[in-house]
Amino acid sequence: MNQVATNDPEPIRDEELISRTKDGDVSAFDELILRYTPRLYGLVYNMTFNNEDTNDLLQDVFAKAFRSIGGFKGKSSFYTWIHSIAVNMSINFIKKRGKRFNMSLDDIDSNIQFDKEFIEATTSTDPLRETNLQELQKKLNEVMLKLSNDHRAVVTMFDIQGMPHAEIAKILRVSEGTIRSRLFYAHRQLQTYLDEFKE
Amino acid sequence: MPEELPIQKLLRLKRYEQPPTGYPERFLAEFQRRQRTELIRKSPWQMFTEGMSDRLSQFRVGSLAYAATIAVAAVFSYQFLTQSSPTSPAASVASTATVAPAPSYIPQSTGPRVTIPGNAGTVPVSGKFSPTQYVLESHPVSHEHPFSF
Repeated sequence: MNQVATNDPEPIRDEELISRTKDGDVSAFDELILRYTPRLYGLVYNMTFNNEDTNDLLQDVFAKAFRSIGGFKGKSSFYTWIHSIAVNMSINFIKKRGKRFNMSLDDIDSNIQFDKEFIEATTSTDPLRETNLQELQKKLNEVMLKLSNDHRAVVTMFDIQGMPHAEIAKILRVSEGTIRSRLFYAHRQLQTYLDEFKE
Repeated sequence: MPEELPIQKLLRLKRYEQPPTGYPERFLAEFQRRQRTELIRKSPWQMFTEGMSDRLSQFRVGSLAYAATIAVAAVFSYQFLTQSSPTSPAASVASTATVAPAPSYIPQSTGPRVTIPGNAGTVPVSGKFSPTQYVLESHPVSHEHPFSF
């Protein structure tokens, strides 16, 4: 019985790519890099707000993941695993960088952009909305830049990445109450800045 | 559940942010280049320590405690087995020799000894005159005929 050939083959599952990587197939890990770089880029960028730092950190994240993949047992998804590596390394990086690094608006250039499918879906009825969306993104980045490192990390993980309070608390090694408190003050601060823009 | 603020709805838009087109491919090329460079630059010792630290970072407290318990148990078992195991004949002889009492017939003098021709024994010599001492056999001498039938 002949099978119907399709032009769109099923993507290889993560588990298989991981297994092949463990067996020494480096190209399988390359596939994982191509698959998860876009999602992790957003996470790291929103914590560092610097493109060069984001790129360097992501290189380190994937290098660490490659070295440690032998110990990956598959209890969680690959994305959850590498996501936690990226969060921890970004937090450590921000702590080391501290206040020595003065971010400017030049750092938040337009290197990061909205997903094309998302723009098409949201602006198909009104082309003007695309411009508004780009403007809104710029404003959001500007107000995020005004937050402290601790507050920005919490906002990134909770509001942008959608992580639960408990998981954030575990990663940052603080209580859930501290996370809620930081979120409350960060949201209030962000709202105030946005109101200023409206005026 | 608390009501969501407008700012939270706006922040959620950032979930759809993506790096520029072609970035993943460029990133991968750079990753491969960096890995090759590191392989050349790093010494085997550096690679070993890095690998070890990565592996150790995966350990949790539970598994560390488990490993420590096994290590302690192994040490105690080893000590117990070495103490209770029978010793070899050579070791047995050596230990007997060390604890055997000194023969009572050895003279107490610590001076140098001279050998007298025709005499089986030795005589200690000291600056002062000391009486000759004879070494007796360890079993009594008897002139009686043995009772052999």
